[in-house]
Amino acid sequence: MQTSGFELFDHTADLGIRAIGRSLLEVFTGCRLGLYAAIGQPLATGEPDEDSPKELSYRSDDGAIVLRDYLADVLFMLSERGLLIVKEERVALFPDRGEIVCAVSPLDATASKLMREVKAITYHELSLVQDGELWRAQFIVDI
Amino acid sequence: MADAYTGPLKKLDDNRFLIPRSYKQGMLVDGLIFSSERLLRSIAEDKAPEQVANVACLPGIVKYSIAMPDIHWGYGFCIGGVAATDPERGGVISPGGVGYDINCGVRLVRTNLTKNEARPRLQDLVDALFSAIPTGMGQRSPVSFNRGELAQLMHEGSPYVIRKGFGWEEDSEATEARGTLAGAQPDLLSDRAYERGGTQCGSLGSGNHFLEVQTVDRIDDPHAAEVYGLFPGQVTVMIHSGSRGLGYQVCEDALFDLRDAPKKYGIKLPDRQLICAPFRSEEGKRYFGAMNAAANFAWANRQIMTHLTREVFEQVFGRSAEALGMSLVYDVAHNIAKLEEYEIDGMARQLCVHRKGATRAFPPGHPETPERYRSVGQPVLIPGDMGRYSYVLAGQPGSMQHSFGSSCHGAGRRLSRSAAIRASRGRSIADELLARGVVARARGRTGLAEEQPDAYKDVLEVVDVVHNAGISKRVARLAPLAVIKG
Repeated sequence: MQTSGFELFDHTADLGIRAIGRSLLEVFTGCRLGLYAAIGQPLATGEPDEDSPKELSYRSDDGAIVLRDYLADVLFMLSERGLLIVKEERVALFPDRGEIVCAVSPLDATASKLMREVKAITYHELSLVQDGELWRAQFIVDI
Repeated sequence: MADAYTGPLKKLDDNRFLIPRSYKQGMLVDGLIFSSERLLRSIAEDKAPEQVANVACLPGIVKYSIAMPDIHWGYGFCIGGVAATDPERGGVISPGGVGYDINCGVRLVRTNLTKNEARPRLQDLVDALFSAIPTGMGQRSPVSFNRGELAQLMHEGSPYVIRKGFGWEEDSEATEARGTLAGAQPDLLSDRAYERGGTQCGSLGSGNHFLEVQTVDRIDDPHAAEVYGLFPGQVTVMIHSGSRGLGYQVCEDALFDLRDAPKKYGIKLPDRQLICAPFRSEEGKRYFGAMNAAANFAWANRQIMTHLTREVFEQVFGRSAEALGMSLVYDVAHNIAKLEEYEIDGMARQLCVHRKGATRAFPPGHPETPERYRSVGQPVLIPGDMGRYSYVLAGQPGSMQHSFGSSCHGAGRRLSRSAAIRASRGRSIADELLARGVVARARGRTGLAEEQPDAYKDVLEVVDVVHNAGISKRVARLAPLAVIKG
């Protein structure tokens, strides 16, 4: 049984991403990698950004919303700042918020292959659930 | 994708089908889908009719929850949806009823060139357009605006950039709302929205956005075509684009701002993506103000690209854009919410009309239709696909009676993006288009494959419904000659 990773799937005019992980951190990582795969092959220079590691915090009592808001930031950092998250170092959900610490590196524009513009992380069919020992997540992106 | 819709669809006539309000608890009005029997079969295959029923639950909704024949599933509201709410009776405003791409829309520029004159220069023209018009991911406009300028641009819309030299004064007259929605509040936009907007005004975008060089290959209404300045064999240019990253950010920010609004105002939603607030609430006013600002940005965006297009034509054909007759036929929004007046039960009421993938279609005589078009009705621009055709329609009185002044907006997808990519394996879509006489250039690796003609339904089926329903009538058909995409 697959216990980590992601897959892309058709969703009407847009694209869906599912991820699975043995921990919250792993499933958040899977979602981020799925998002990047939807965009293409964005590659980092490997050098840490001056703001790395980055500490992000999102107010919500719903872990799925925290995930969505995190991925929206991931998307913004890539499309507007040319920055990639290369690793989630910590992911924690609390009753009223979620916190993520991640390593950030600039995009290597020359080496990267960006195929498709993802415009938004939607709320549609958004889910983050713990299923026994696994975490599963799903979200739909607007192309 | 979700299962097919299995609820009721009661035939009212050959062009209209009803979802009665008894179908679902919470429906305040009936659902009304404009469609043919044939189109209805594919419409029912996704959950879009269910979304029509959901929208019928929104507080203050008036008369019907409406869908056009190009209806397909969307976020909250279906695409192709129209819903009018009454602000004075607790009516709501919903970002999902506008869409992420605020004021995504279409404009049509005429020329006095004929297809035969343009054909020998088509490749040069496409290459020059592709070079001049930023398309696709990460491509920035050649024009950038600082924060103060962007704020002013969002106050004024396309007239602002026209004053800066990106167009002709008369272009505003030929733009819906004259390119400016009053009540824009750019000060409400987030820093992130400003960051995304600063370098994108004057860029096409990606996905289904395009700039297409076309020819008028059929006239259905000679008189209306003449009024619109269209003639057989004429070369035209159609631009489909919206508010770019700025509009998306405004929608994102609004969805965050309104997160708690339904609970706060006691609104029960059958779908959380119908998130909304009373129009007169602080949240509702904030969204409307920000949405208007983003809408004005989109008109400025399409105006700058019009200017760049004119420059390219001047360069390729060696004559001024004025000498080439490159005036604007019209510009319409198809993702927007506007305050408009309608007669309901014998009384004039100002309603908030949400159009998400639906185009305004005001009839002859309407004061908002440009004076020179008032005898025939407002131009309604309906893009099809890059292999077949697009349409110019004219708004008709039926739109005011049946659909809150609205008509369809396009063809609707037939294949998902992945299915379109799979279907394109082993094929060159560019070569196939060339064999049909269409020169295409796309920046993204998947753009042409995802947007290939087979990925879309035949827009004529959609146009026939609105024509037969008396909402908007066929005026001219436009065949593609060349297209650029992101």
